[in-house]
Amino acid sequence: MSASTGQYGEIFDRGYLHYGGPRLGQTHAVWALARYSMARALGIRRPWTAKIIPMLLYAAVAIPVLIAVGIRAFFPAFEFLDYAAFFGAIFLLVGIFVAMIAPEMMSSDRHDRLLPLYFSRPIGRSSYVVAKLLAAGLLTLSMSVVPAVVLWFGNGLLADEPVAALRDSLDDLGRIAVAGTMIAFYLGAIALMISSFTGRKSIAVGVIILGFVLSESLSLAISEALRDQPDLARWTFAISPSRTIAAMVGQLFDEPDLAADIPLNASLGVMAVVIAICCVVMFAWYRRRD
Amino acid sequence: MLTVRQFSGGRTARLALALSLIPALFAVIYLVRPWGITPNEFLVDLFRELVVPTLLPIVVLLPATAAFGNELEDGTLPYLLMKPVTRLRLAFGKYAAVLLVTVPALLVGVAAATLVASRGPDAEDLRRLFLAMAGASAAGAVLLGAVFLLVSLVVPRALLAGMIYIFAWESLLGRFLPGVQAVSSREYTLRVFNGLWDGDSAAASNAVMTMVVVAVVCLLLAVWRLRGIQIN
Repeated sequence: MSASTGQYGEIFDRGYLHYGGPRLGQTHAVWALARYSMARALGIRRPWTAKIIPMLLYAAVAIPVLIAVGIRAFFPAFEFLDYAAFFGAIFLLVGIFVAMIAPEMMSSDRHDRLLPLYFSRPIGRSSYVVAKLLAAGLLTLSMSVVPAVVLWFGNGLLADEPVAALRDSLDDLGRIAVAGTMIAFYLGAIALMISSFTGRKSIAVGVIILGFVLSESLSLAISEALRDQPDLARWTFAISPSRTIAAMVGQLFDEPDLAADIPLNASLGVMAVVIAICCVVMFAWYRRRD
Repeated sequence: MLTVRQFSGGRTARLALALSLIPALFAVIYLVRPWGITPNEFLVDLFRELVVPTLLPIVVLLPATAAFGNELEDGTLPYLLMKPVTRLRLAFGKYAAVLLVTVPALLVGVAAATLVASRGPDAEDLRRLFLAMAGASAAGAVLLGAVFLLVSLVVPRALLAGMIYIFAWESLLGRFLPGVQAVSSREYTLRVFNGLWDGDSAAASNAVMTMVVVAVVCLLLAVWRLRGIQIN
């Protein structure tokens, strides 16, 4: 719109000035949205009531780790919390955590009708989904990987030769990274997909938690019903996130009880497939809607 | 108060019904390939392990926290308060709406599960079991509905808080600290169920009385809380 010299021209000139600053590109836009989503989910720059539940969850996951490290400091021989037990125990907490953050990221944009605004900006539909996935996954890492790394670091420092001990247990660190990252993105993708279908946060929260709890009962019931076909029954773990995670953690940290004879590749494969399905559904769903 | 029913009549009711039908799904799995237990045992297990600890709270929590929660979220609560309706009627109307949505859904769900399971191998007369399950579900809904109506007026994100209470508090702590069970909604619901199932009506009515008293107290507190909300 070219400037007219009329009475109102001045205002128009100011309003339609071109942006002259640096252009930071698509990746910056995605990262900005992801960073904003994370801050919002944690209640940063929001009233203190929005911060209570994230704080509580972080406290719930931090306390056992600190206690475990503390006990080791005084009774070195006493293994209070090993990695497998840790990852087994945090399923519920991480489940509640993603049920808290994902609806905050997806449903409130729908509820406040922000999507058309986003999509009229450089952020396109797919990059919106990518940004949200990134935000959910990274934020959940702080719940699944960080405490485990603290545990690992604590265990190393308490050894007689800290540096050597840390170096020797580097493969444990690798396992922690794999397990924690898979858990974060797996649960995050499921929760995001569920909450992308509704604008009501409360409904999304309910369906996500119910889904995590019920899928376990469902898969146990089906495996019970298929008792005479053990090969088939073994695969029922795939419907249940908690059993899939337990199987993966069991294989990674060598706990045959948890692993239940499910090969590592199978559980990792199931998680990858579920993540892929969630992504495809979300990409398709956000492309379709105007 | 018809407006109150209107809000619950649509999607929330359908969601509650869909969730309540999940036990029937389990019953179908059981029916297709029964694993060596009688329908009786199956239903009792299903009710104790699945319906009371998880399904019932979620089905009740969704509408109960949404009743005032959605009004708060959308900022429409002041308009409602401006109407020439007493706070008491408002709270009880919302409560009635919650019960109207959840209780029929729960009863339909339990009935469907019983019906499906009754076709299983050597089924006994399941009528009394059904009555016990139905009574316990209704009592649980009466209690949880009132409690979380109140909670949603006090805490933002009441549903999440409720979920954390149900899953972290009642299931984890209840396992380690038996004292927690004395104030656990699950425990009372199970007491009603056991009372009705064993024909021990005194125990059942005792538990129901406690639940009703707690529910009424919660509703009165909700009215009191509504009075404190500024209209501007």
